[in-house]
Amino acid sequence: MVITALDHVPHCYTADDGLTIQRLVDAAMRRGEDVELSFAGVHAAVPSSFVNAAFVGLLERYGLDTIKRSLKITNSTRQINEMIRSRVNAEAKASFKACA
Amino acid sequence: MLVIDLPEQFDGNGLYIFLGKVINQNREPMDSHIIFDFSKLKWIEPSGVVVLSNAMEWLSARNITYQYKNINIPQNHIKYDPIAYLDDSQFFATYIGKVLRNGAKHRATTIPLCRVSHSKSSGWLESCLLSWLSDNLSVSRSSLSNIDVCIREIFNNILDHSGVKMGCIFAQLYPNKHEVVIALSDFGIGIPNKISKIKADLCDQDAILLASQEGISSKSLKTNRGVGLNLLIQNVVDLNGGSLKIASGSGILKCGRSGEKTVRTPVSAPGFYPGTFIELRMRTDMIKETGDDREEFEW
Repeated sequence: MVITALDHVPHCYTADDGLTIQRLVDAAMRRGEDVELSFAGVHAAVPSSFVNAAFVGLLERYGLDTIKRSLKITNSTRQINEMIRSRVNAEAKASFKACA
Repeated sequence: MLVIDLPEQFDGNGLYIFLGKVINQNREPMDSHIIFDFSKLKWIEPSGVVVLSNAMEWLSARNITYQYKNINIPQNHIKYDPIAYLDDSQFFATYIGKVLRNGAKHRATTIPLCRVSHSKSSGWLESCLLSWLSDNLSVSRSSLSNIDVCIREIFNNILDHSGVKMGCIFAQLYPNKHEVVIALSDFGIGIPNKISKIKADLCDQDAILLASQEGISSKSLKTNRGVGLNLLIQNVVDLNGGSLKIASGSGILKCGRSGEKTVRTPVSAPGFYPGTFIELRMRTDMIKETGDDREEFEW
């Protein structure tokens, strides 16, 4: 399933925007579908509040391996990619430490 | 009626002298009618412009009336005159409804003074700050993503933590120093007040230092992860080689480079800041044209 972020939120900026995206991705993953999350049309920088809200809840629910397998990011910029990678990896590491 | 002289130097120190005359530590106005006397003002920096603006907003919201006295602009050498600078920044247009001299308009090296709500901040960033920087530095919009994300982090902090929705912002380019200074101010709850909910016994500068560390969050929102200030410091200091000052309550956190290291120095402020003030000094010579920054994502 392809989810184009800007079809659902006015911008990829706030925690509220991120939660909207999280719910859409979560619903698809619950149905067992792979998800392509497209940032087509997003030219602005994407801050941490959006990324935390969009991805960290998914990480807690599905784990990093499933996220990497089932969620593909497309039409993104270097800044968006770096923000997603750094936040998701940091949160995965923190939750691993908490469990260890 | 209270007459308040603006400080001679309205800079990082002068703003505390000014605020100490306007607002008491219980966060109440000093009087119900204030006359601001500009006669002693000799120099004002972007920090002074946003603090002056934020003070006017704060007084108006409390139905405090105010007037300005001695807002005279000399005939010559107006480039270095602080009242002409304020006039050009649109300060008087905003607060008395008109410019002081015909043709006063924001200078090529500044943006107009703005009061920006979070809901308008994304559009304002695109149409004002980033397009101004892009034109002046002759780089594409995508080359400014570092500055873009910094300002968005700050506006999200205002939205999520300050209890207010509006920030005052002003920016100036210093072409000879290869530097852009961006100053933002809100008169919200302030960082030490938020941090006291998770650690009560810290002085204000140590509270700001703690808030700047990754993973420290007052959890104003369930999704907060306490990374915004740390990311801001990484972007400004680590990636750009610039410096950053965060002032709130009676504390200041200064962040900059020392050799290869990023140093975060908490210091006691020379007064009280009723909210949060952030000043970014970013190196324009470190901003390189990136071209098309679309990139295939890999985990």
